[in-house]
Amino acid sequence: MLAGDDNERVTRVGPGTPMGATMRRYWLPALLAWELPEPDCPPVRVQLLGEALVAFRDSRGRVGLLDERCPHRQASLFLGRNEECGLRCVYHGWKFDVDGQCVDMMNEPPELAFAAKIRTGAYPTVEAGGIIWAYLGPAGQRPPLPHFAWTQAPPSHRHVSKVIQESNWLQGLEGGIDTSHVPILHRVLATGSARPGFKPADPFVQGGAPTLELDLTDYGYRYAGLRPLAGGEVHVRAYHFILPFHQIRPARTGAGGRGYSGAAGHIWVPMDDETTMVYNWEHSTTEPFTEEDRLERRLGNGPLDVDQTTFRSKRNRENNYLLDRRVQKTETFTGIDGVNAQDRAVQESMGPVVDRTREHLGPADRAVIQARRLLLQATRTVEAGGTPPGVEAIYYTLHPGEAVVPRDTDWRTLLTPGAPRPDVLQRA
Amino acid sequence: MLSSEDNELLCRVGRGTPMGELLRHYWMPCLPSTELPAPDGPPKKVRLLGEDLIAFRDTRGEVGLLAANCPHRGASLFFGRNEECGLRCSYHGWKYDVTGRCVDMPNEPEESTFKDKVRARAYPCHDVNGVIWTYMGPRATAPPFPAFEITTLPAAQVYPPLMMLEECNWVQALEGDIDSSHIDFLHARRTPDTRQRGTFHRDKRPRLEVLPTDYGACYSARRRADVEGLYWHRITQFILPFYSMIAASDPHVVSARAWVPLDDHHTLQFVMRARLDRPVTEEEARQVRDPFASWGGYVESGGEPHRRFYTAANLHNDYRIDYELQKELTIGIPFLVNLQDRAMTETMGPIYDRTQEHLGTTDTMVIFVRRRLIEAARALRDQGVLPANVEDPTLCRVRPASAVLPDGASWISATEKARQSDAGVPIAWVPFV
Repeated sequence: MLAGDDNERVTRVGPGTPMGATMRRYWLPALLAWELPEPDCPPVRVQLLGEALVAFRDSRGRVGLLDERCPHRQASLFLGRNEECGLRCVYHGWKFDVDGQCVDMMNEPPELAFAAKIRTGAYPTVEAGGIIWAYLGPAGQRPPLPHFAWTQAPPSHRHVSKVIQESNWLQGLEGGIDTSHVPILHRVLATGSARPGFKPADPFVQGGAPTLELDLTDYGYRYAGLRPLAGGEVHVRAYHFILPFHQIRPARTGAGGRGYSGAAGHIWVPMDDETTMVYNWEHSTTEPFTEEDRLERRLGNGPLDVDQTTFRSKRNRENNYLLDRRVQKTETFTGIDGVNAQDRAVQESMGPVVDRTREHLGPADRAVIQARRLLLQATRTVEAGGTPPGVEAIYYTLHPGEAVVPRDTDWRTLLTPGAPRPDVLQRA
Repeated sequence: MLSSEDNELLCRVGRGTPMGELLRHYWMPCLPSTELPAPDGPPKKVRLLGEDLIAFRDTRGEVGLLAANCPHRGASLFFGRNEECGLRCSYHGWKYDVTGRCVDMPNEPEESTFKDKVRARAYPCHDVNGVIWTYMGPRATAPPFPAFEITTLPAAQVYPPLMMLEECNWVQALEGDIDSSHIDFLHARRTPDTRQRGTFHRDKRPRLEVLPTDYGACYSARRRADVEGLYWHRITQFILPFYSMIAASDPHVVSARAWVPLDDHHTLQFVMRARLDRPVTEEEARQVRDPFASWGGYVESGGEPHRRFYTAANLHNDYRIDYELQKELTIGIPFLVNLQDRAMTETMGPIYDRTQEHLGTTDTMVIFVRRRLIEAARALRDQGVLPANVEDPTLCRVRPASAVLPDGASWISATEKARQSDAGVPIAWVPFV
């Protein structure tokens, strides 16, 4: 439960808001690299932290991210011509380079040199891990590049996709750092069902209600859900939360079907206060991903389930996520197909920005409560002129963990690189 | 004409508004029972008085009506599992019974007593004669259930409710039912011999007389009859807070019409009817399930309360107005339930601005009912006083009437018994259309 003003503070991200200023201190995913496949390709609209932007790849392959509206008379540069190292507004032909400098002004006499005096808003970008990241903050405070372990993996061993969520970013993130819902919401009821989710025999499902253990770190926290099993062992699932909106979790998808695949995560990037672009990534430390893996059938985030132009899910609020009550009775807990479609269903159903003055939180929500605290603290740190957690490059090698281990095992030992990983997934 | 302040007070029904608080003291129709056909069936989204709710029928057949958002972290219980006498949130598995008690919390340690401290907001429901009613008010024990004839007659004699969603505020929708004058124009056929259904009265200048009552009011609209020296009195009941009773078009049918606010901009009309003489036949029941079938029927709702009982002919396509039909009727929209009325009341705007209107003598009842509602809302807000029919469930045992009386006769004394459900006299009826 939060006070109303804290809820406003922690959720709103437009220019000038406390959380908006905080988010502008990080590299933010702006679009997928393949959306700008080649030099001089069509520009793409980008909505980020309430700002309307347009991205383009110039003749030399550099990516520009400009204010969508032309500084001349506010026509959209999305309609523009991407040519000869610049994006040209189709209204009067003003042309801008990736830095926002106006480099040509065909409707004014050249002797005026008016072009040299005009700049449009432009944000620096960098490509990493199949994502074009942008920095929307003050020039002098640009953080180190977003070199997570997965963004540094070769393309064969990483996969990334994105999908729109019709709610505020924070309730999406909260679902991602909330281990308690996972074997409930995503449960498969029928042993023989082919539908995605956690099967009845999975120790994740077999385990009792979880105890949460959480360590604060300089990037956010790491935490584990510990679920007692009948045989005296315990099922451990350990995650990382990196400010402002990254989750790292043990992967169960893709190459995971053939064995442990490494890590996966989501990034909940606010498009505006009521719309989020969720980036979904996966990192295999063993085999390369196959084309089948990249369909993401299990999560429901891939091209079979999400329109690859609009990034709207085919299962969405308008159609109740194609909920099938017969399937809900007999096969899966929700009757909705796609693990992340299930998440979006419940999170969007909370309303555009959930009213946190009305909730009832218990010990199983500890990680959620802690994340809110860290985010609120970060806004105050930024207001006081400081640097929020998570901008330093200390998260390069964070590993998640999942295992069935003896009850007295310290779960932290599962998070070290190269730690032996009891193969819980195959037992399930 | 109302001041803008009075208009706001009259129309707004959200929690905390004076009118919203008044309405919450009454039992009100919520859904036809057929929306929850079987135990453990799919839960349904409900919107009522600006609140988002979820209705479900549990394993024993009891109906629950819970605030849509789970008290835990606000996910919608619409996605919940309706099983083993409770609705279980799909997110973390918290489960609620029909009273809102949290009966299971599978993600917290077994020894935890947290679940005993959590309650979902739940409204008691009463499922009777084909309609689920609910009480959304402040009392721990709901007031007595209203003893309308349509709620107390044997179920076999009760029709399925006629349902229609209206995209406007409830008061302007209700006002159409207590405005006798428009029937001679809006619902009229242009010549007596057309085959189209419509009214045809020679005297189009009714005289209205209002009789205030302890449950609301009734009024007579008096028109000259075809025979010299006789007058036709059409007597309509208004029962607080939003019921009307219109003189029947069948001498054996009693009814109550409810204009239930889903929110400030949407109203669900229930026309609840019952026969005094015999059971309703299956064929009769079937016909009323889609009373608009001849004009496009209902759209597929997808479970959305704002599209449930929403007709294919609506505000956004001018009700499929047909100018050929308009040669025979005043308006090229058929006289089906309140469809013609809806074309008038919806086009006034989502909340009609009553500061701009011009009311005449035939608006007497409309003026009275607005005042009665505003006074009742103020009396509750300022003095904590409620209308008598909150406590006394028998006050709604009344009937409308239709009678031809000689000049000078008092309709009030002539129909005194006919206006009571339990006076043992037949329905006062004369042919209408």
